[in-house]
Order: sequence, then C-alpha cells, then structure tokens
Amino acid sequence: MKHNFIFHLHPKKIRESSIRFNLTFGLGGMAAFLFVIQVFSGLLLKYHYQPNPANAYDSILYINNGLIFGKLVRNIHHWSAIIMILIAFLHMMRVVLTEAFYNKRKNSWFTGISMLIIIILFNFTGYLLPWDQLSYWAITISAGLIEYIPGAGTILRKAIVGGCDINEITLSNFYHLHTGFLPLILLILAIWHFWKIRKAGGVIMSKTDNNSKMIDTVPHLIKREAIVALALTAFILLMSIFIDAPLHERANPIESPNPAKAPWYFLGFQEILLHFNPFIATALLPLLLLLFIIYMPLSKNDSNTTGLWFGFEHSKKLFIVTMPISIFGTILFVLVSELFAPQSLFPSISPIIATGLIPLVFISIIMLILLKAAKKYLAPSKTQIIQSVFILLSLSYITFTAIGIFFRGEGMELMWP
Amino acid sequence: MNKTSQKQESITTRRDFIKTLWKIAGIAAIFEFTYVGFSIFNPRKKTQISETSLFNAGNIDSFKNGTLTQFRANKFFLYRHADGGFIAFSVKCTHLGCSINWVAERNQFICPCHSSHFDIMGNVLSSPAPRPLDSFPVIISNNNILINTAKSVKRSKFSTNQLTYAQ
Ligand code: HEM
Ligand code: FES
Repeated sequence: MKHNFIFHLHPKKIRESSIRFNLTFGLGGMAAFLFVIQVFSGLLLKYHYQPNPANAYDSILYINNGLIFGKLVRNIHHWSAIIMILIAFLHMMRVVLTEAFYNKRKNSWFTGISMLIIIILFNFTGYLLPWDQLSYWAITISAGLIEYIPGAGTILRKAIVGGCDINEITLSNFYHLHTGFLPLILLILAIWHFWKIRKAGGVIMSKTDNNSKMIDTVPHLIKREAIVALALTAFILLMSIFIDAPLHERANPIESPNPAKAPWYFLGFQEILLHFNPFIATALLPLLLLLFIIYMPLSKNDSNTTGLWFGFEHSKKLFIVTMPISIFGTILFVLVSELFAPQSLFPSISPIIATGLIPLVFISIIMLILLKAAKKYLAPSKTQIIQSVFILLSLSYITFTAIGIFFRGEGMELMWP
Repeated sequence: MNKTSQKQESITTRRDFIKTLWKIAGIAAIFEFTYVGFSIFNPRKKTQISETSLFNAGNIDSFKNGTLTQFRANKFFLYRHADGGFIAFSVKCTHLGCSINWVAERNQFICPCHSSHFDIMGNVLSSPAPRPLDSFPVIISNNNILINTAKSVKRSKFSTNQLTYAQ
C-alpha cells in the first residue's frame, strides 16, 4: 500500500547516477516539498485569518500574539514562500545549465515556467493579506506598474484590483485566488510536470551516466528525498524561530510610506521602469523575454554535452565571463542612466527615443560586440550561447532587484544601504 | 479499388472536420471561461454604482481665490484659481498611485514614494510622474461645490478650460 503510492510518483527502478546529488541538487524535489509546507501552514493560518479590511489586520495580530504557535506558523509560511521563489529559480538555472529543456523535456520546461509564474502570483496575492502599510502600498504600486502596459494596462489593472482603489473587493479577490484557485492550478501543473519527466525517462543524464546500473527506488531515492526534505524543514524551522515575518502599522489608504516599494521580486521591474520608457519596460522587454523562453526548447540542441554541468570545454570560461559582464554591466547602466538622466539631458527628444531607443540600441551594440568576441575566442555551440544569454538575463534581473531592495532609499534616491 | 480509397479519404476528412470542430469548441470554451472569470473579478462593472459619487465640499464663498483646500480623506485637493474657477485634483500620484502631500512652504505637491513634484496647477515639476495630476469633475449647483470623486480625468497640461466657474 505504502509502496503503491510511491510508485505512482516514481518508477520502481532508476539509474544509479540519476540520484547523484550534484546532478540536480534536489532542487525540483525541494520546490515540491515547499509546496506541501505552504499548503499545510497556509491551512492553519486560514482558520484564523479574516479576509476583509476591517478585520484582516486584527486577525493577523491575533495570530501573532494571541495564538499559541501562531507566530511560528506565520513565519514558516512567510519564509517558505520566499525560499520557494529562490529554489524554483535555482531549479530553472539547473535545468538550463544541464541542457535539460530540449526534446522530450520541452513540455516540462513550459509547465515549469508556468509554475514559476504561479508561484510569483502566489506571493503577490499573499502579500496583500496582512493589510498593513507595507502590503497595502506595495500592491498599490504594483497595480500602478501594471497600468503602464500599453493598450491592456487599464483594463488589466481594473480586473486585478476589482475596481479603482485597493479595497475590500481586491482583498476578497486576492484571498480566494491565494487559497483556492492558485493551489489547484499549481497542483495540476505539478502533476503534469512530474508525469512528463517520468515519460522522458527520468531526469537528464549524460551518455555515460545513461548506462549506469539500475537500482531500486525504495530505499535509494526515497532515502535521499527524505534527507533533503528533513534538512529543508530544519532550516525553515530555525529561520522561523529566530526571524519574524514583517508586520507594519495598519494599512492607511491616505498616508503613503516613504519610500514605497513593490514586493521584493518586482523591485527589479520597478527599477527597470525608472530607467526605461514605460512602453519598453512593460511591453517590449517582457515580450522579448517570453519569446526567448519559448524559443529555447524549440531550438535545436547542437551540443553533445547534455546532462553535464559545464560539459563543453569552454563553457565554464564562457559562463565565468558572462557573469561579471552581466552584473557590472547592469550596475554601470543604472549609474549612467541615473547620473546623466537622458530625459533631462535632451528634453526636446520624445521620451520613447531618449529612454527607449537610445539605451536599447546602445545595449544591443555592446551585446553584439560581446557575442562576436565570444564566438571568435571560445567557439560556443548554439546551446551554449542560449545558456549564456539566459545567465546574462537572469543575473541582470537579479542585479536590478538587488539595487531596488538595498540601494534605493527615501524618495527612491540611490543610497548606500 | 478506386472507389474504396475514395470512400476512406472522405471518412478521414469527415473525421478531421469533426476533430477541428472539437478544437474550435474547446478554444471557444477557454475564452468563455476566461471572460466569465475576469468578469467575476470586477463585480462593479455590471452595476455601475461607481460612475458618479458626488461629494459636497461646501458653499463657494467659503473658498478664497488662489487657495488650496485639502480633502485628503475624500482623496482630492480643491484649488480655487486666482480667477475664481475651481479644479479638484486627485491625491493619487500619476507615477504609481501613492498619495501625494501638499508641502505649503515649497508651494508644491510632493509624492513620498518616489518624490515626484507637482506645482499648484498639478503640472509635473520633476519626474518620474509622466503626466499632471488627474482631476475630478466639479459641478456647481445652488452655489454648492459638488465633486464627482468616482471619475478621475487624465489631463495633459493645465489650462483654464479645465476650471469650473459659478454662473
Ligand atoms: C513549483 C515549482 C516546481 C516544482 C515543484 C518542480 C518540481 C520538479 C521536480 C521534482 C523535478 C525532478 C528533477 C529535480 O528534482 O530537479 C523537476 C524537473 C524539471 N523541472 Fe521542475 N519544478 C518546479 C518549477 C520548475 C521551473 C520554474 C522550471 C523551469 C522553467 C522547471 C523545469 C523543469 C524541467 C525541464 C525538469 C526536467 C529536468 C530533467 O529532466 O533533468 N520546473 N521539477
Ligand atoms: S508613486 Fe508618486 S512618485 Fe512614484
């Protein structure tokens, strides 16, 4: 009976090398386990949380101060939510770096991306629920960000917020998305994700690993999964015991805090919007990113190093140059854009050119030069180029996010943390 | 021989045709559900209760020319121009929607979130705000000033035809 259930999820026998920790780092399994933690801690919070503006904040206060272990459960839910985004992101990086998104794994790539979006929506809808100053204004600002999307912005904002202002309708919408709709969708996507991976013959493996001997799932894989889950649980418990989830004053729709920031995972986006024209930042760049993500698994895998980390002889070098270029390039871009403020430098030029075309052309030229140089000195295959572009984009967004979190103070001025 | 193959072909095309119909029906269903889903999100759209909501700010004589009166709890500032016309600015910053503050000593609206500055006509003095403050329609009836706080109007630049005068 016990085994029957396990074999719904896993095959009876697997290749020995597929459970090597440094192949996958167990990241997908961690994400799945975090989802379980979220469901159970969330259900506990749901008993006491009241989704209306009059009582929401008080019910959180009660969970924090009146309920035995209430604060612990809230902390667990809060920190696991953040760790879940990080883990899902790292899992995606591992899939990219081991070239595990081609051919039979295409479907897993797309369900994976959808799950990442759903996880972000989970965090976003959950952010409003405490109804404190932090959450109220973060959602206000995010709704403002959405409004910049050309054409669809106003309608989209209205649909999400449920009217004009953030009010009881918004809270009700977000609560029911967060505790009903999104979990259901994530569950369906996760089952699909796992099923397709099993159909693809398990996780990706290199040619030599593919011939390693078969071993029993129970106990070998199960033991490792249990170890990862227990270690993660211990880590989250310790963190939740010692660090409290933030709770500011009660939401006050009249008084904005200074500075007001979007939730941390949108701060990269908010930062980009400070430097680019809204059309570029909210429509063009996300569209290009989406096209690239769709293109990745559809392109041809022309490398023979599938299933290996840095399998290609130059790929380590390629990635090692890509990383500082991405990070320092982003920092330099922010500083230049901040110091020279193209819009105030050329007030007569239309903003779509000054903060749109000019930086875009500038960045594209640099990228093309770098690509030429990489092709000349490191002779990468197409797969390696895709991987390094992915690293470049990810690290750049992470840098934008870090700047938004740590280096933006009062009035969104650049500052030292 | 020829006949049977022809028959088979027509069967496959008929089958294909029905398959295509199923697909179209499926896609239509997805769109329907999406639309229904989104409509449920925004329940006010149907009932339209929010299109007008008049707030009575008081008698026109209680506002001197060239002064600004704050109605922050009702989300607007009422400005009476030097020529006697009225305009009501929304407190919402046009950048991302924070509540702006009136800073009297600088004669400016300043947004606490990302420090956009606006002059007393609501024009942008410093970005990131992309456009002047939105306004609410002002109606003067029986010398009372009524502000429709449910309908914010986007403006490009301040001009006197945005002002409302007493008859
Ligand atoms: C809730 C979020 C997610 C969960 C629960 C999850 C779970 C898993 C699990 C358990 C595996 C098995 C291999 C491993 O442990 O690494 C896996 C593999 C995979 N995941 Fe995810 N994942 C999630 C998000 C993502 C994301 C964001 C992507 C990328 C877009 C992605 C793409 C893939 C792909 C392509 C595979 C197959 C890799 C291979 O065969 O080696 N997943 N996922
Ligand atoms: S919301 Fe006012 S400056 Fe950003």
